Amino acid sequence: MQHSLLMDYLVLVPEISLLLGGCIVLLGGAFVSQFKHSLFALAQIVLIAVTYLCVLQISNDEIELFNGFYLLDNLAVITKIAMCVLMIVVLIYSRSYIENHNLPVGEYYALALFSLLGMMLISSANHLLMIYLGLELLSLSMYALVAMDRDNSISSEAAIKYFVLGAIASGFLLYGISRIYGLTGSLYLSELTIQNDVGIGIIAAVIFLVIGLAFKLGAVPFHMWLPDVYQGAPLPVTLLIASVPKIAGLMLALRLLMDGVTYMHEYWQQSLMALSVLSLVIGNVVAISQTNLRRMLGYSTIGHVGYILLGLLVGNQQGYSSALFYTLIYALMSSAVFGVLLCSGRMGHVINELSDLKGFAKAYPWLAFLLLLLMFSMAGIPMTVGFYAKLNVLQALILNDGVILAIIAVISSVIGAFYYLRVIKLMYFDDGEIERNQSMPSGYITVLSAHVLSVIVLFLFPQELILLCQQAFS
Amino acid sequence: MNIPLLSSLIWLPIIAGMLVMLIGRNNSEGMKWFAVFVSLVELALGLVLIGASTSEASMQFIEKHVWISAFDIYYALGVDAISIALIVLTIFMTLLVVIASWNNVKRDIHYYLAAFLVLEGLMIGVFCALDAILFYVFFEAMLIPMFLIIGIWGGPRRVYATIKFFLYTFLGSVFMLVALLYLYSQANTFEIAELQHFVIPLNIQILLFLAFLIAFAVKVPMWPVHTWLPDAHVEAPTGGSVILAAIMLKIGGYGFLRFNLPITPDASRELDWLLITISLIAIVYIGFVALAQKDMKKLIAYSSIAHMGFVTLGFFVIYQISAGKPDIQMLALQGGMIQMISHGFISGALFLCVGVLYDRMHSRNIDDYQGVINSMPVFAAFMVLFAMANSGLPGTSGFVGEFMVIIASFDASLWYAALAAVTLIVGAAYSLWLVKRVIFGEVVSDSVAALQDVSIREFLVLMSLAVLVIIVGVWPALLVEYLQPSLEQVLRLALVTKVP
Repeated sequence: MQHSLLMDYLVLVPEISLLLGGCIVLLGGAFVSQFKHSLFALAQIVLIAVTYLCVLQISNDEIELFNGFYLLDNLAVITKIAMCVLMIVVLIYSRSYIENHNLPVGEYYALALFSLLGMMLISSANHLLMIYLGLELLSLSMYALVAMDRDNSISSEAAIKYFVLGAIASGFLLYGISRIYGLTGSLYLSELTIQNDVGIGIIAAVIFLVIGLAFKLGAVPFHMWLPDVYQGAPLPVTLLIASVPKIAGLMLALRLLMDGVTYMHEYWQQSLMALSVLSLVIGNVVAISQTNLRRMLGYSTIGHVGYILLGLLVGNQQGYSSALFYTLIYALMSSAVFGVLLCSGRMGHVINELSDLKGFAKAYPWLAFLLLLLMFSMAGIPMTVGFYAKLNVLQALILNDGVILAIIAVISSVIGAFYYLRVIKLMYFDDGEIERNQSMPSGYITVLSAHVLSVIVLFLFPQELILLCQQAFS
Repeated sequence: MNIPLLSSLIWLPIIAGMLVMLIGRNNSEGMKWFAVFVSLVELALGLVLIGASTSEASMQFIEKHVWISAFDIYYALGVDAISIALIVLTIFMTLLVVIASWNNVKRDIHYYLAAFLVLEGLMIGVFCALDAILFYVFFEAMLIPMFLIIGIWGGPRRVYATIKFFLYTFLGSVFMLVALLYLYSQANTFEIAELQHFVIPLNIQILLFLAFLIAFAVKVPMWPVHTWLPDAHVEAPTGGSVILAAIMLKIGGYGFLRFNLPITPDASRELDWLLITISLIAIVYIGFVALAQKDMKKLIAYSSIAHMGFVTLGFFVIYQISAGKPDIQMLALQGGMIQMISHGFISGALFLCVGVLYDRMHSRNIDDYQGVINSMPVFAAFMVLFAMANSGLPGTSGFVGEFMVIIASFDASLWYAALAAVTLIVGAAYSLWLVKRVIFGEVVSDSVAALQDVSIREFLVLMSLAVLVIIVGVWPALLVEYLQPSLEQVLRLALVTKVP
């Protein structure tokens, strides 16, 4: 393929459209604040267009652009499409909340689009600088989003925590990157090999990278910000954080570890092992003692991150694809859980504490049923796709001599099952007084139902998605 | 005939159950009839299954489709006589449960019926699966409806009981999952039949055996992992207890026949002492525990554990019977299998009897009853019959299996047989004492005097079980001969050595 600069820009059309769309939404929000609905429509049109453009890029070629800064491979295209589709769903769920709670509508959509741009850049990065830029674009958008409800003290606290710890993480990452540059003389991911023996210098650099990653992903012991942000951020922002950026986090790890310092596999594998075991155990155990539902979901995320890391640390095609599959499924489930919470809030019953769920099944039978399916799916019980996500990771582990890790993983998922069951228990087995004052928003509930039922459909027909995840790494 | 019979058996009740759940809100009467209709169609399909089956040992009605090619997982179904017997038992007990819960479920009966129909499909799936992961999927998915049945319609401590039930079983089964994945990493297949011929070194076999053991021992349940069962039984609604005792416990036994004995035969031989010991502890110790119970359901729950001890004793005593006597080994295996079927009938029937009393008196406490025979003579006759069967009266199905296992274990060791036989007395003691305290005696309370005898509906349910208990009791050959070829196949696989 003949490369000219113009051709390069043609490949970049999705990102450019997203950037332009984000700017238009931002400007529109500033000038026409009374037309909230049109902003939503505009953001959705942008997202659908970007998704379509990404779909057009599906091919089996691997393209490097801009002197190798930018890489378009199967993996990048697949994750970009997944991110865009999830973002469309996220905006549908968020819409009424931000419109009704006096949050700045234009800024929300614009920041969401910008964060998506950052995530897409991470997916396609082939250069450490590119990774860092994408990550900062994502993180800064996220900090602002968390702080959006500025009169709410919990929200502000969460934002400060998130910002400070996020900045530290970026610092670690940047320091690792600069060390690597010093040792290898290059920032291109494919050129990070060093000539002489592996010494303490490069090991330290890799450890810094892993720590930065662990911060961003929320792996124990770098997880402190995560439950606070889940609890403190406005609900639509939590929904956003809990879904799409997880895929970006995985891409960050894949680009750095898989494409970058592959040859250091045995070193980062050990660090990831420690991180994942800690995350699995601490995430799941601490989740049990939570009384706030969103905090509990935060700790449950940590447990899931442990699983994703287990897939990553296997370090071959099978492991990576299992981590990708797990992340996609996790993002799907987690966004649906918050979708249910937002729906319930919209119908007049706000759920914050676990005890708010008492008697939920009586007042909202359909929503409760959807949440029940999601909880079983998160616990990894068959007849829901959550089972394959775990199966896939376990199989990758066991085929690569990780039986002990697999046993730790399954025991922790039994521990995890307890708090998921408790949610079901509160909804179905306990009695509580919940009044139902508004009818179901029909459009919302249709999207939500389709979203949740996909958990069962994907269980029955998982073949395509699993193959897709495997092709991404072939 | 090209209709996928097994798939219909599995998916018909699941789809019907979903339907009942979605549309049944305002039409509970119609839903009851619909559930009965579906159960009857299932029964008809089950009878077709028996009629069309041949007496070969190999799997029949095989359906095999690729499910997930990336993992080598197949949607592979097939049955032999062992599966068919348990499938028909499942269908039959579900039908009875649907009929028996006609009037006594007050809350959301459409959800209740839906849960049982879905559960039925999943349990049949367990007995049909030829692919290990498919087996695991059904095995685990079964927990969901049962968890809800106990948790929503159960007694006062239902939440504790159901979460305990779920976590125990889940913990047991995840080890099986790891074992299956490990086997795959060695053998490159999830097909149970191929795994049964796969050569595995002894130390690995032992680990695999233990993983399977945890999964199935919890399900059976064997001492010392039985403690979830009394709680679950006591708190579950009648229907839940019946299905739990009659079918779910059998899935543990079925797992031993499909996984432990054929896939890890050398480890089974190596660890037979362990299994025999805990089976005997279950038989003897749990028998005495049952004697001390004050709650009728708890008593029957403990008696279930003791009776399931005969099943596992029969399965594992084959290794201690001298190799030259294949007939005796066969007898032990047959005894265990007959005991599973018979216990399905008897324990189900006893729980239904307790349900009949509970619907009227809202108490399961033995002390609250006395002299029920005076106000409910027909019911008393049934209850006495089932209690006799439970204690192993010759002429009832309860006698056959236990007798076969005891005879066979004489050949292994006098002590096994002596210990097992002694508990027949304990079994008789708690069963008959229960009957004495509940059924016979003077009427002391007004509420007992005011009891109404069984309705036609209850009569039909109990009568059908009574007929089956007696048929199997006086003509066991019917069942024994039907199961013979398949059990011979299991025995063959269990006795070969697979160490490389």
